[in-house]
Amino acid sequence: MPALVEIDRIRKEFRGETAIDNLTASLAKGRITGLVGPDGAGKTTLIRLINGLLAPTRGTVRVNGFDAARERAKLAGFIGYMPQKFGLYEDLTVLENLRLYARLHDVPENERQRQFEKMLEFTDLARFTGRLAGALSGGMKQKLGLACSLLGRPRLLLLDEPGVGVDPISRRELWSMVNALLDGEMTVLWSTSYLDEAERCESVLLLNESKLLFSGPPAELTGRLQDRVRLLRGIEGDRRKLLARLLDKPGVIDGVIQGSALRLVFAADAPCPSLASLGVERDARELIPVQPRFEDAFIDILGGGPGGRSELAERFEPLPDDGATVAAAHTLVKRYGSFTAADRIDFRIRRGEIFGLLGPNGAGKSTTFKMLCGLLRPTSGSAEINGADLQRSGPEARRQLGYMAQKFSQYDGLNLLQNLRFFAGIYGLTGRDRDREIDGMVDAFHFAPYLKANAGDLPLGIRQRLALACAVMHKPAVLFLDEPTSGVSPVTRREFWTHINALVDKGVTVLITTHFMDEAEYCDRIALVYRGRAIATGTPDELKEQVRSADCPDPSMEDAFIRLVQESDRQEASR
Amino acid sequence: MWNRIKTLIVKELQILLRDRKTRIIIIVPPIMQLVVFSFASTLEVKNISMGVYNRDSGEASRQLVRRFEFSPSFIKLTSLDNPRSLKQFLDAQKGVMVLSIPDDFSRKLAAGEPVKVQLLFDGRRSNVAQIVNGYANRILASFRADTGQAAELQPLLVRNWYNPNLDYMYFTLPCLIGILCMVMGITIPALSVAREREFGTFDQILVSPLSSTEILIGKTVPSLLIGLVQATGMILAAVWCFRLPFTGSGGLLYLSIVIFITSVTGIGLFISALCKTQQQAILGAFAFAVPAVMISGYATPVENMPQWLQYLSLLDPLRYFLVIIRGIFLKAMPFSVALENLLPLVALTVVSLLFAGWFFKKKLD
Repeated sequence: MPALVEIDRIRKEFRGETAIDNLTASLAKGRITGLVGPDGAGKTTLIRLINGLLAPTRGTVRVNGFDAARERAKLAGFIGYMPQKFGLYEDLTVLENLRLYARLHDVPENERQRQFEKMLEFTDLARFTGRLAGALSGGMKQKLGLACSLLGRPRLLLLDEPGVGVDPISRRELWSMVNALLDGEMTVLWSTSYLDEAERCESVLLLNESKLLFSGPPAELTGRLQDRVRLLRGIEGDRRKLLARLLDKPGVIDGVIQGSALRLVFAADAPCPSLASLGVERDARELIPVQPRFEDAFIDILGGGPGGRSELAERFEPLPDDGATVAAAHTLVKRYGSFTAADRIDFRIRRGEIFGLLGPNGAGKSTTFKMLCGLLRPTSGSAEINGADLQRSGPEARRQLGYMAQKFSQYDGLNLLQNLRFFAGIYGLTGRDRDREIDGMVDAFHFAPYLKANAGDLPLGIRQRLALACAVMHKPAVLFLDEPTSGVSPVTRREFWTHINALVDKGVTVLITTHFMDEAEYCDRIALVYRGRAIATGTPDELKEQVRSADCPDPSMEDAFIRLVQESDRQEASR
Repeated sequence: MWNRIKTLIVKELQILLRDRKTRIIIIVPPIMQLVVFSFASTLEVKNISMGVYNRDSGEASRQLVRRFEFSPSFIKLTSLDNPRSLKQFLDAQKGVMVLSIPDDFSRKLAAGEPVKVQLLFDGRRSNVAQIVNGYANRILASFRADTGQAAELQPLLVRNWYNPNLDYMYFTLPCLIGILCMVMGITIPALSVAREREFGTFDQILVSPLSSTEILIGKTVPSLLIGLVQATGMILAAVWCFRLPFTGSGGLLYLSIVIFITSVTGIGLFISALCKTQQQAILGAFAFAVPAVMISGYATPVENMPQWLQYLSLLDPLRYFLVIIRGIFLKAMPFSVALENLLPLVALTVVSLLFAGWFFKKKLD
């Protein structure tokens, strides 16, 4: 297979910081290659180097035989590029956007109509040609962006995280669309921080901290883990405590919660594991081998995940295990004019429970979340935290909750220590109490080398830790997490969940919204929100059970999500 | 409570002062603007070019022309010899005024008969024409007096109190201090809230135990402190660099500045409560500031405006502050007089802060 793009020992530095470190790779012609890695790994930089928007500090990138940076003019029209935030004009309609990009791409007048029709049919946007781009859903915007970057028929398509912030259904659609393009002529580079997408690519480039960790077919990487991944099922008692225990066992390099089971990855040199060798004969019934996933392999390359101990949770006093209702939504309704964003949402969350809100973009999960933590006033119904209505009881009730926002919401202009001091201060910690808590956070999260660094300049993993530290420093009883780990590396995500699991063990209650299906697996219960309504509520296993059928005997969380949403659509249509 | 507010204030100041660029932006532009504006916005007319159409050949008319020539205001005199060139002179805007002297000027003057000259102005520049008219009339009046015309009229001796040399800097500088204080006092809090909204930190604050009153105080005080530093810089520059007399009480001036900045901060916070982004906040701040300057009485006296605008200007904090700061600088305004303007300012402060607080709360919906 000839290579269309050849990357030869490139290095890219920004003001002394290395963004790409000595990377050599090639993209096979007519194939789809996944560019996989967490945020800040260097994916965007690499894409911009390939389309010549950046010049490498050292090394060369050749596209179709031309130097990408120096002979960029010769590659005009050859490359289609869809940046992370595609430049759609929100005030123009779908068709006007297509026309604009056709002109920008110099598509000949007589060919435009044909290409438009093809694109509209291909993206299934034909019904929406007259709609403003700003009024499209997140998934449809991405499709339109894809259509626009395909105008002029490029031979190399560079997609920078087309799936970011897009729900699983739209992600699958985008994926099948791009696959339909692969007719032997088109070469595609698909960048993503979702590791499950990597498995579907013919070939992947795995990037982490500006280094290329792996290049080749994903099966080659997961093949290394054959027979090293097990599912521990039939667990009696607390699976979170069990996971923490197992993670500290030698030979166990990674472990996550998967519904009511645990998924464990063992070291290559570990002896064949059994219930007995793990010492869990009394805690669980069976240990069965399962197919390794790309994420397992990623963790394996990095030398394993973090241990099971949370120094953070050790600072918390255990709360009484009384099963009291800590947070509750009583027929919550939020209307904006004639649009109902949340429609009669009802649930109760017990102490020490992890409750997940799952749903496509714009389905109402953020609205519900915001009403619960008091950021939005419900049109009717009420939200209670510890029995207090946040709208009425105000400041004192809010002291009980910790909040971690979707995007990093600490003060970029302040250094790490100043951020900690600020968040300690607004939660009323003073003097010695404040210093003790701050010292505790610095120890628990190993902040010492970063204290004087601007929060905005911190590595992503540290920023994520800082956000958690600021949310829990005052020892809240309820923790609100709004997509807390989007884009962070799987190691950071595991570290995060180690803390959360340990906090929950102490009786802290967690409400979380998430796009990540494996994050949903950590939840005790999930409410699937769609079109403003909770269309299904239950444990992850219950939801999966609901969609089990002959053609899908072992549904994943994502299968459950997609099928339940589609089922709801069907009911809506038949009504 | 005080500890939480202190935390907010410290954070706000740290954000504003930690970054060198922001530090410079807060201190340097106000002083620079003060210097530039105070030279640029003078209402005085100097260096005037005028034309002379003298049809008289007598000595008296030459004397009159010489008086214009030696006046410091008129620097360039152009002799015109026919009505056509006169018209051309004004058409081409070579000068704003033409002095036309009739051919019987010297004769009538010698005979003791009343004489007249004509002044022609370029009406397109009405403001300048009006001012030049004043200068010209003063010269004509003194000429008349010296030549015995209308000798029974004693010339009036005009004395300008508080600004003996009619130096326009005296008028503009204190006003500029007020205007600049207002612009900064609105934009700093408006931007700081909008920035927190954009970065998502405002949600963090809203879910914390902070009450909306605490948030309001935490946003007002830093803006007030920064405003006081800026005002002090400008006052010192005015007194030391521009030699402006400072005749009144410093304590009274600072009391007024505190009240004034608090009132505009309230307006800035109110604007920020309506905005989602920093861009909207900046536009909102200017949408308020520009008309507020126009109806404050800085450029034109409030009394000259239509009645409804005069009523509207009652809501303009700058209107009251300009009276106070000018009074304190130039005429040692006593407290009792300042109070007349301070009380409405206090009322506006209370109203704007209440409004901002109310909108902060309402924003939750």
